[in-house]
Amino acid sequence: MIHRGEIVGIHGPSGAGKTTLLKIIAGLEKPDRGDVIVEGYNVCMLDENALAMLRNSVVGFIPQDYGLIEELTVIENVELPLLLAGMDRNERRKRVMELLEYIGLADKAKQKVKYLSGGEKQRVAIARALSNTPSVLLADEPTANLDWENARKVLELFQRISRDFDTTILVVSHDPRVMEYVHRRYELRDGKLYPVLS
Amino acid sequence: MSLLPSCRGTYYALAFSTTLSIYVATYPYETVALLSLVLTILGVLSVDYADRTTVNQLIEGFTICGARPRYVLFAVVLLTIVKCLILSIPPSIVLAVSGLEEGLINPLLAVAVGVATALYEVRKRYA
Repeated sequence: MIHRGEIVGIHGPSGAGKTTLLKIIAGLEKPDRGDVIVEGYNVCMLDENALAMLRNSVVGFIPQDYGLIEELTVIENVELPLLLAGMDRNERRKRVMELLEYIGLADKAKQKVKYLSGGEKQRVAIARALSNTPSVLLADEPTANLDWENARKVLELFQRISRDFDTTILVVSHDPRVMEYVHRRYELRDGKLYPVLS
Repeated sequence: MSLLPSCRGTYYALAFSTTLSIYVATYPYETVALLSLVLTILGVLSVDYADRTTVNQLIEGFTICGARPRYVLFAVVLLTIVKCLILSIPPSIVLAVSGLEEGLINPLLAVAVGVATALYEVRKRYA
């Protein structure tokens, strides 16, 4: 069980199933058996429309390749969940600019995502995942495509998010250095999670 | 949000198909109408292939952000229709002005082929 506001790290070798685990929690894939309970919802029992609502308001997902639409601007990417939630334009833009200020990318708001660096794209993906203030943030290998300086900034941002928004964050990574930034860690091995005592 | 195709390949294909239509239309062969239909299909498929990344990003991005399946479908189909019309209308006009009124059905054919490929991409996601 993961508690509100915790940062939990899951590490393991490539092919262990870390990405699959995150996608199951986000409702993007179905498990072969078992239940996944997120904020009281059994993800395995929800239909596609209910899963969409879950991803829009309860679970923010940041895939390894960022999942951004490169031809859209930073603002357009970050406001997408708000647009889908039916928020009006003025309120959307206000919320997006607040988030971009928080992550330090307000000056790049009107730039197309394809012109950003890897670290900047990662932060845009984080802002988009946060836009509807989800209870849970899932980050798949958030530092895999970054040098350690940018990776550290992203991990420190996660710590700030967890503290400021009381958001539960689940980070999967094969990089053991990432685990220094989490409250609890697990190792995924042979399809099972083993707690790692620090 | 801009719905105009972003891939440069779309505009290369547009220039190619329009130029080829002008060339074809200047020759009084009986097969010109059929040839223009084949060119339209090939043009749409090649643009679809070249712009596959944008469509896949749209599907993935919308899904992650919590769009219901019908909204994902709507966004992808709308983008595809705009793209197919941009690609097929100019050559169609060239053919019609040259006396080949059969060319006017090319946009319909282009949209049909484009929407079929778009539906296939979205269906793959939710299969």
